[in-house]
Amino acid sequence: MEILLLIAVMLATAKLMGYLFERLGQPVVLGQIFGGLLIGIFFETNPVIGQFANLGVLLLLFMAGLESELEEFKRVGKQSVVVASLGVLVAFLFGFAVAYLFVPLHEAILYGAMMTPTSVSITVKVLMEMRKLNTREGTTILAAAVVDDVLGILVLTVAISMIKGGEVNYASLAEVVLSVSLLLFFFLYFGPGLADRVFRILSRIDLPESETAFALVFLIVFAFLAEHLNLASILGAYLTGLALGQSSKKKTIMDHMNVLGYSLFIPLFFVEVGMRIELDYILHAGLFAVLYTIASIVSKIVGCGLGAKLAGFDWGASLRIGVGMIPRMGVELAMLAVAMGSGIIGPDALTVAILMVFVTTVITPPLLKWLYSR
Amino acid sequence: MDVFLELALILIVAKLFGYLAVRLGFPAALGQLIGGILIGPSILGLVGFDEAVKLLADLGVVMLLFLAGLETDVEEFKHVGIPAFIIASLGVLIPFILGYVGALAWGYSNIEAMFLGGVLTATSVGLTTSILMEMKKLRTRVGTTILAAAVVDDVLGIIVLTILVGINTRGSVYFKDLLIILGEVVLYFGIGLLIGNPAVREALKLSERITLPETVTAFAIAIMLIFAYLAEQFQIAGITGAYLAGLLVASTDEAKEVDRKFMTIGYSLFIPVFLVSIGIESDVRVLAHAGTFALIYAILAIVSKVVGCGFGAFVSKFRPIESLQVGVGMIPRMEVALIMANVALNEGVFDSGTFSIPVTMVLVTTIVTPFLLKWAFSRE
Repeated sequence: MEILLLIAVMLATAKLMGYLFERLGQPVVLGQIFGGLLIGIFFETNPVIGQFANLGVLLLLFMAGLESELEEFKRVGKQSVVVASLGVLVAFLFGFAVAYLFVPLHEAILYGAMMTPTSVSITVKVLMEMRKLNTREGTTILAAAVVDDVLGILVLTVAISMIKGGEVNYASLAEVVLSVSLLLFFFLYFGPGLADRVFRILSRIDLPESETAFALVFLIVFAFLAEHLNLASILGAYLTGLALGQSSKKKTIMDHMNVLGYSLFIPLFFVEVGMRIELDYILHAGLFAVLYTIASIVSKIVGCGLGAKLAGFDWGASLRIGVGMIPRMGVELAMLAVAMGSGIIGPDALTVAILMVFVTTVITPPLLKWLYSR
Repeated sequence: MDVFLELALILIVAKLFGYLAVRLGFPAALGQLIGGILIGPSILGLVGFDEAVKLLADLGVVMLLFLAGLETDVEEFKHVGIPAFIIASLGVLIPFILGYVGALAWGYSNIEAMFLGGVLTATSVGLTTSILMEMKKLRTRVGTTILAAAVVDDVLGIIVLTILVGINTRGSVYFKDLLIILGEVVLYFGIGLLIGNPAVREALKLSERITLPETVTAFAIAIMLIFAYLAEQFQIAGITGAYLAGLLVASTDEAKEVDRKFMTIGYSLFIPVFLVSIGIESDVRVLAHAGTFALIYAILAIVSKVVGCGFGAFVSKFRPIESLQVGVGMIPRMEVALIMANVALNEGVFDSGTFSIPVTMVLVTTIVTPFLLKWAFSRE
C-alpha cells in the first residue's frame, strides 16, 4: 500500500513546509504548494489522492461559506457590496483582457473569472496587528470579502457553464444566471431554517459524530446537485456552508469540519496542486504570468478603490481598502482546480495562478503597513 | 455513480442503520454491516465500491485499531502478554487441526486440507474492536487481552502461511523462509519500539510547535500511516502496525488531544465507511450456492476459535464468562483469511470451488460476531 506512505509524506510536507514559509513571512499555502513541487520529484500523484484533494476543495469552500458572517455583512451592507462588485467586475475585465492576448476566448473567460475572488486572511492578520481591524475600513474589507467570494464563485460558475465543451455559449447565459439566482435565493432564504429543522430530527441519532457526518452528506449532495445543474460543485459546497453557518449548529460543525479538513484533506489538496506542476510550465509561462499578476494587483486597487470612493470613503481610505483586497489564495486555487477539472484549461494555468498567489500575498502586508504609516 | 455521491449514500446508511440497530438493542456495527449488504452488489447494487471509497474504508479500519491502541491501558497491556500468547497459540492450533481434519474427512487432499486449516487461523479483529469500543468494553482486561492476542495471532498466521507455502513448493518446511519471516517480525517490532518510540515522541513534540491548524492531528495521522505501511512491508497486517502506533502515541503528552480529534475524524467519516464496506463486500449470494462443506467449515471456524481461545483464556485464569467473551471476540476472519485463500489459489492449491469455501466462512463469521458478542457480554 504505497498510497499510505504517500499520504503520510504529503501530510508531513504540508505542515513542515507551511510552517517554514510562515516563519519566513510567506503564506502557508505557498509553502505547501512548494512542498508538493519538491516531493513531486520523487512521487507521482494518483487518481485516488486526486479524489481526496477534490474533497479538500469542497471542504475548503464549505468552510469559507461557514465562516461568512452574514450579520456582519448586513451591518456594513451597501458599501461592501459596491466595493466587492466593482472589484470583481474590474478584475474580471482586466484578467480577461490580458489573457485574451495569449489564449483563445473561452480560456480567457476562465482566466478572468479566476482573478475575481479575494482571500482576505492575510489582510485581516495585518490589520489585526496594527489594531485597525475594527475600523470602518476593516469591517468593510471583511464584509466585501464575503460578497466577493460569492460573486467570484458565481462568475466562475457562469463562465464554466457558458463554455461547456470548449465553446462559448451565450444562449445558456440567461439560463445559468437564472438557476444561480434561484439557488442563491433558496439557500439564503430557506437554508438556515431548513438546516435547523433537519438537524433537530437528525439529533435523535445519538451515534458519535452524526452531525458532522450529515454535514458532510449535505455538502456532497448539494455539490453534486450544483454540478448536475451544470453549475460548479464549489458553488453548492459554498452555499451549503453558508446555510449551515446561519443555523444553530454552526459551532459544532465548524469545529469538527475544521479538524477533518485541516488535518487531512485540505493540506492534501494544496500539496497535490504542487505535485501537478511541471517545471517546464514555469519556464514557459513567462510574460503571460507576469502580466496576469500585474493585472490582478492593479484591478483590485482600481476596482475596489473606486468602489470605496463611490461608497463615500476619502481617497486615502479607498486606496487602503483597494490594497487590502489584493491577496489571492485558497479560493482562487480551488476555482482553478475546478476549472482544470472541467477540462477547459490545462495544468499550465497552475503556474500563472501560483505566480499571482505568490506576488499578491507577498506584497500586500508591506504595502498596507506603508499606507497606514503615511 | 459519482464517487462522492456513493460516499454520501454510505454515510447515510451508516448512521441510519446504525441508529436502528442501537434502538433494537444491537451494536451499531451490526446495522452498518446489514446496511452495507443491502446497498451492496448482492441486493440493491447501488454502489460500485470505487477505489477512493475503498481507501477511505481501509483508512477506517487502520484508524479504528490506532484508536484502540490509544485507548489501551498500557500497564494492563504489559500484564496480559503471557495470557495473550497462550490464547493466540491455542487459537491458531485448534482451528488449524479442526479445519485440517474436517477437510481430510470430507475428502480433500492433504495439501488442500492443510491450507483450509491454515485459513482458519487468522483472526481479523477490526469488527470486534469497533463493537467493544461501542460497548465501552475495550478498556477492560478482556478487551486488552483480545487486542494483544490478535497481534500474536497475526504473527502466528504469517508463520503458518510460510510453512504451508514451503510444504507446497518443496514438500517440506522451508526453514530459511521461516527464519526470514521471523527476522522481519522481530525487526519490525524492534525498530517500532526502539526507534519508533522516541521518534513518535519527538515528532509529536515538534508538531506542538508548529502553529498551523490541526498539526498535531496531521502528524498523528502520518505516524499511523507510516507504521501501517512499514508493517505491510514486513509481511505484518497494516492494522497491527496501526495498533502499535496507537500504543506508542498513548504514552505521549499529546495522547488526549489525538484521541479526541481521531474520534471526530474517525466517526464522522472513515470508521462508518469501513463498517458499511464490510457489508458491501459481503456478497450474500454466496450463501445460496454454498455447499454443505462450506457451512460445516464456517461452523468449525466459529467453534474452533471459541474453544481454542476460550480454553486459552480459561487456563490463564480468566473467569468462564470472560473466557467465552475472549473466544467470541476472536471469531471474525476477514482480509487476512482471504489473503491466505488467495495465496492458495495462486499457488494452484485451491480451485475456484475450493476458494468459495473460505469466502463463505468469512461471510458467516462476520455476520454472527455482532450477535454473539452482544450475547456474551449481556450474560454478565
